[in-house]
Amino acid sequence: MKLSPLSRFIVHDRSMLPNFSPGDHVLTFNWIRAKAGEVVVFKIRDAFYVKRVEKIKDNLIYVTGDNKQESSQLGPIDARQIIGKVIWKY
Amino acid sequence: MRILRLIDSIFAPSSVYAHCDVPCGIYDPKPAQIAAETVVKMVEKIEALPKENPTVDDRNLFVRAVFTKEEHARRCKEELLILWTDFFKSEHLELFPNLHETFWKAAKLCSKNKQEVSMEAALELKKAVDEIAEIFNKAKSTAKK
Repeated sequence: MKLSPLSRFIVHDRSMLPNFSPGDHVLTFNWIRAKAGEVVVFKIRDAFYVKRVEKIKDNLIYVTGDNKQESSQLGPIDARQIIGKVIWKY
Repeated sequence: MRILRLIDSIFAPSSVYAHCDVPCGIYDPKPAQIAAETVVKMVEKIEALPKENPTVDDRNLFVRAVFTKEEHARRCKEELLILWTDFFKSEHLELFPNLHETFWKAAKLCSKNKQEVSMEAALELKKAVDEIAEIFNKAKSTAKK
């Protein structure tokens, strides 16, 4: 579990269009367990990524981009890599 | 919302990428082309600065231009490496036998542009990246057929 309940991020890239555009600011709530359909921020090495949870199977989280033309199914990632769930775009 | 934006303007939020280095099919040579073009512009700006008695503003612009040139040359190399290692596959070598050589030279030119302030090297980089963009577009259109 993350120390801070909330985190702020700026979105880059187009893989989450039309729901999240480059330059959007998002707030995450970090004291959660990710569920299918939610948009989450996760960490791979030193970089943060935002994707939608497609399904969870055997403790592995399968994520995908909303922009299907430019993004296909990714993952899976480990639950420990999840930073939080996006709760607000501002 | 305003409060959060205000906080963000003081304490910048972390960057979060919608794309990641997992094969998801998002490849585009444009970021590399923009970066190479920026290197050319920065060399132009640096070379246009007065050589003698520079003002504080001139020095400031010099530092900013060098910093930007460095950053965009790095970014250009990074974008090229993504295309080279992730987008292009062995079957592309049949269509473009000089593919590896072209990328290798372009990547080397990125480093050269970091080391030097040279319009010749900057234009060479731009030409090399444009050539790669052309190869990329051909590879993409071949894949669609």
